[in-house]
Amino acid sequence: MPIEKAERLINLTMALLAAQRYIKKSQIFAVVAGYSGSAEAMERMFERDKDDLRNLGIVIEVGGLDPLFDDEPGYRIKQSEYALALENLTAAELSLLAIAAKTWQDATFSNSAQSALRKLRSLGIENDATNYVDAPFHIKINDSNFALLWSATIAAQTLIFEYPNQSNQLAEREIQPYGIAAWRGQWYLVGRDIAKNAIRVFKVARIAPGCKVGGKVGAFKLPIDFDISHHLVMLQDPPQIPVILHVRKERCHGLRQKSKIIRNDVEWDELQFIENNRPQTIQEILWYGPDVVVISPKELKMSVVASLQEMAKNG
Amino acid sequence: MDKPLARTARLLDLIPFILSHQGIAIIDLAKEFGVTEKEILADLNLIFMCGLPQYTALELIDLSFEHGFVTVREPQNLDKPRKLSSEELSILIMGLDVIQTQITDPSKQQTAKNLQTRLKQLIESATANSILYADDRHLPYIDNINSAMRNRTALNISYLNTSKDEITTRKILPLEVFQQGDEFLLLTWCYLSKANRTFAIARILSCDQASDTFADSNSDTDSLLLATERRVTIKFQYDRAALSFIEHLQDRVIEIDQTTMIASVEVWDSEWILRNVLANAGHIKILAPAQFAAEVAARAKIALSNY
Repeated sequence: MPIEKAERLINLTMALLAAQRYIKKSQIFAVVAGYSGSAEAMERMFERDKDDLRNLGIVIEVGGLDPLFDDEPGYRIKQSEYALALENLTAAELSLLAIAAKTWQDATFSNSAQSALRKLRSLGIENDATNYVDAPFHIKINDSNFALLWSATIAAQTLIFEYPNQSNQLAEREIQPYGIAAWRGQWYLVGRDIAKNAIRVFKVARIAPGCKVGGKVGAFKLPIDFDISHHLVMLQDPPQIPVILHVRKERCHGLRQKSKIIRNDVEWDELQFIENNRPQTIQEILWYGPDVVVISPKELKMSVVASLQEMAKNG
Repeated sequence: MDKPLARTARLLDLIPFILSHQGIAIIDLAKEFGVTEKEILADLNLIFMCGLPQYTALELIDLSFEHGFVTVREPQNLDKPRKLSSEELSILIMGLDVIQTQITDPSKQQTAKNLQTRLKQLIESATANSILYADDRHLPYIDNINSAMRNRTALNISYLNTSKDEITTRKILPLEVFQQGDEFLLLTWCYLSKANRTFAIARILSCDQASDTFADSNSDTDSLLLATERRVTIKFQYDRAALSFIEHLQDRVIEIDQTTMIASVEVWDSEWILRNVLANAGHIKILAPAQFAAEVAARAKIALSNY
């Protein structure tokens, strides 16, 4: 009865793991259960098996048996390359990793998160469940491209997608994805735009549905000094500017939450807070319309007035 | 991943998992690996046939599973779990980023940071700095909420309704905290609405263990209950500066033409859309209904009169 492919792959893994020295293909065909048929058939079978094991992340080393002769290459799997190397992991650390994996519940990565967790639990360390109970929250990603963007980034595969240009028209971009980051719940892809030969940042939500991979795994190398945080302007320290507002009594609760009251009046209260994001501050002030007046800084006041003038003339 | 390959991965992972959970029930094993009991039994039968070359009784993997419980007697050289894949490592590294944004205990923060450094050493060096989760917004009351979820107890919250610019009080049973888009949301059973309700955690202004004497405020008219009666369609033109607002609307968009940048959305709260148009500082112009455009202009004129 022919042996199932999965059985042959397990036998091959075990044989290569057990090898102290590189073992030749002919030896593998002779001793590993599951190889049968013509020499050519076995050869093809073995090539596919090697690819399959490598797709599972198993590193198969190839080496010469005798350095003095151009001999047939041999193969082996080093235990140190095969096994999970997280020695001395404490129960508290394992619990923390379990929480890290659980963060992705319901998200694109729940399968990988579960398999990571299972491998960690196979280390035989008891969870410290009393110390860390659950993820602070779960992340839900409703984006049809996201799984592909992520896997292509991890696998260093080129991506092809449509993205709005300056005139808001969708234009095709070919990108080598270098990294993915989330900032305040918004996801960003950072990569090298092949046509422009420059690193660009793309907001994931603006990438048109139907993104594709355009090349093989490992198609490019990341620059050795790449650090995604250097490419995200929002992570740079913004200036802290005090803002003074007058807000109507019993109104503008959102602004009151972030401010301290510095003066009470009959109709208005004077509030102060420190801003670090000017566009967001303008939005928050305009949200409350006639219930808020900017006192300082002057530039903020001018921006708010200009926006109000623009909206007033459109009525 | 094709079926035989996925099965090979499962078989390789089964042995160390059983070794660390000796005597596990087949039904639990099936649940853990997300397959049926029949599939797990087939897997165990197959593992039973695998081993090292020579394949005598001494070289085969030996396990017992006759009475519905599984024990590995001899794993041969498959006793260790496989190393984590790049994707698994990336997910854990980013998960630890997430934890660090919200854990307040400094010792746990440090543990998470040290662990992240160890994981980054296992991943290809350049990739270690190519993923990042960052957020400077700490969730208020997250500890109270998580504790109430664990103990299945209710909470009293005061909640800021930004559309109406009012604060309401409610008794809720917290069910799940999640991040969707740029908001942290809390799914609850709301005793006031007598239905499931989702709240933006950033707008919860106080949060305490509920007592029996708590009464919901009757000042609030629960907007969602009136949703169908107040639904309104708004047509507007936007520019690039308002793209984030369009993305935020997501499933409320009925029609959108990205060339002319004209969109129609259905909203149930007209106050919400009016305030959003104001907040977008002239980057959104209402085309219909005309009275909404007039209302935005009127509010802008009154606001201007304050300067």
